[in-house]
Amino acid sequence: MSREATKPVFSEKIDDWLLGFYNAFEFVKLVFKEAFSGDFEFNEFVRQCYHIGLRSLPLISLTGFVTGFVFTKQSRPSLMEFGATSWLPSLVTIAIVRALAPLVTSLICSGKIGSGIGAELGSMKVTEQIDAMEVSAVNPIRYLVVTRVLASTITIPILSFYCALVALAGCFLNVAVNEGTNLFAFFEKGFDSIIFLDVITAVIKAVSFGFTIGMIGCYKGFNASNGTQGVGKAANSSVVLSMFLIFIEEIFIVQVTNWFR
Amino acid sequence: MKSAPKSNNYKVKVGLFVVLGILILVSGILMIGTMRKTFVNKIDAYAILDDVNGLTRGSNVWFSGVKVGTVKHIDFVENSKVKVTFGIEEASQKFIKKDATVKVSSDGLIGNTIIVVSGGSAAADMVEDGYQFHVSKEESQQEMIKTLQENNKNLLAITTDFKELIHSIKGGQGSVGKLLTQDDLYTKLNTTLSGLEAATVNAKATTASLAQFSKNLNTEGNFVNDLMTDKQMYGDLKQTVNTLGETSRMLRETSTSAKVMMANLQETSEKLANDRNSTVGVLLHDAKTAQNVKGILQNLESGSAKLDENLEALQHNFLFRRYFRKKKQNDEKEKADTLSQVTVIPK
Repeated sequence: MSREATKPVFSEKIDDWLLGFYNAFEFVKLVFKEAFSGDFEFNEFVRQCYHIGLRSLPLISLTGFVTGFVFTKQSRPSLMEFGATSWLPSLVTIAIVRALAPLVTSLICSGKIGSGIGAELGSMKVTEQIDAMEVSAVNPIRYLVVTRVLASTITIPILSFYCALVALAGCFLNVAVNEGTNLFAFFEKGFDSIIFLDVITAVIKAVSFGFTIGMIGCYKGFNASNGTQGVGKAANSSVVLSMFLIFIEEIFIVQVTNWFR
Repeated sequence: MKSAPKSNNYKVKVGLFVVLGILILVSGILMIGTMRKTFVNKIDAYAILDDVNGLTRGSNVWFSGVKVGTVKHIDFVENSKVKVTFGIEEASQKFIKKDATVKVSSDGLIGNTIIVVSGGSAAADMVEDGYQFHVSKEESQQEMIKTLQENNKNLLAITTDFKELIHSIKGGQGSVGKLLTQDDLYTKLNTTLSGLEAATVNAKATTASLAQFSKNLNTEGNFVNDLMTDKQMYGDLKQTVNTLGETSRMLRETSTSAKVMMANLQETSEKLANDRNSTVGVLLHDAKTAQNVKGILQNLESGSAKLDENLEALQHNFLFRRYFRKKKQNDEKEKADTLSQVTVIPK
């Protein structure tokens, strides 16, 4: 390799940062290529759906319920000042459907699933299991990455729906105890302010967040190095980066969908 | 790598998980669709408004407080006019008449902006697809706030005046102020009040007496009670009053006549007193004439006495004696007839 070739374009750090973007882009391109290659590891995909989706359900349910209950409880004093506690169902439903359900689910999943995928694939990488798969004529991208990314992309929206339902249940419990509102009136009042665009936005967000979590976890795991230390780093950075990207996507999607309001 | 579940049960669980998730999504969509009246047949109607006050697509349309549709389009037309097209569900169409009006309102003091359809008579036809509603004017929130601001200013002025008033009273100015600050005035007022209290007691007693008196008046057999309840007495009294009225009228006329007569008498008297040339005036005022008249009267008196003597002598004359005797007999006969008629009158 010549000296000119190793000479950084901007600086080593900036070049590394930009190279990381390129590698990520190449990785995503490779994943899409493998996803649409025709051979699909359905059993592995279902197994990942089980681990990523179903096993996260208790945690998501608890978090969602607490979110709905606490959000309602914290919003009540402000609305009470205006004598508008009857708006609580509308307020909380809008907040949950438009933002909280996809966001809370994704943040919980980025911690639980993103770190799990990063650590799992990272340990496979550092223990050369992925290399062994390649030697065994098993495509690791197709088997490990495509299935996980697809599973997280599908199950996280479903988890968001569960989260929204449970959060609304928590909200209803609080409202029913304090205001004596019945279930029918609660949902009628709550969904009166919701439009289809809100649901579509929530689904788009959840799909994007799920894809991001799966992709970042797999990317970081696939690029882990330096032994067990690298595994921990991959798990940690996959959580941090996926959370960061989730918020960026949140801002972007909200801006875009608001054009259609 | 995570260990794979031992059986295929996890696949069933994953399937159930996905199905339930999709069910939640579909339920949510259906609920929103129901709330938004998405899955019901609708007709389109519109209204052209001056100001839509932040109305947006999807805002609710209310009729008599019931949601009957949503806003579909908001477009500018003409000069600063806004055309609002909204859907009305067919189930409500028959209740909304063509003479109903629309206005932009809100579903609470700080609520969402909505379209409110109101009014409409039973005789009018129901609205049809593409119908244009008339717009009714309603005071906007800004106008209400402006009025409220004006009220606040008035309230401030009132409180300022009240403050000055209290200050004056505290300073002992005006009747109330003096009353509050001057002890002698208070004493006088107290005395007055005591007097008033005594007067009240008296008035109470008087009222009681009046009540008793009224009770007595209402007692049967009492004159006033009879007067008020006896119709016969009332009729008699009325007749008496009428008679009295008639008598009074006649007296008044008589009085008027007497007055006229007195005036005439006075005039005549004055004339007699003043006119010495007339016959009566000469008689009253001329002593010579009076003396003459007196002489004439004396002559007439002596002449009359002599005439009586002559007539007496004439009665005893043989020429007229028979006439007077016959006359005397006729007189006695008439007297006897009269007496006999009186005695035959039955008892």
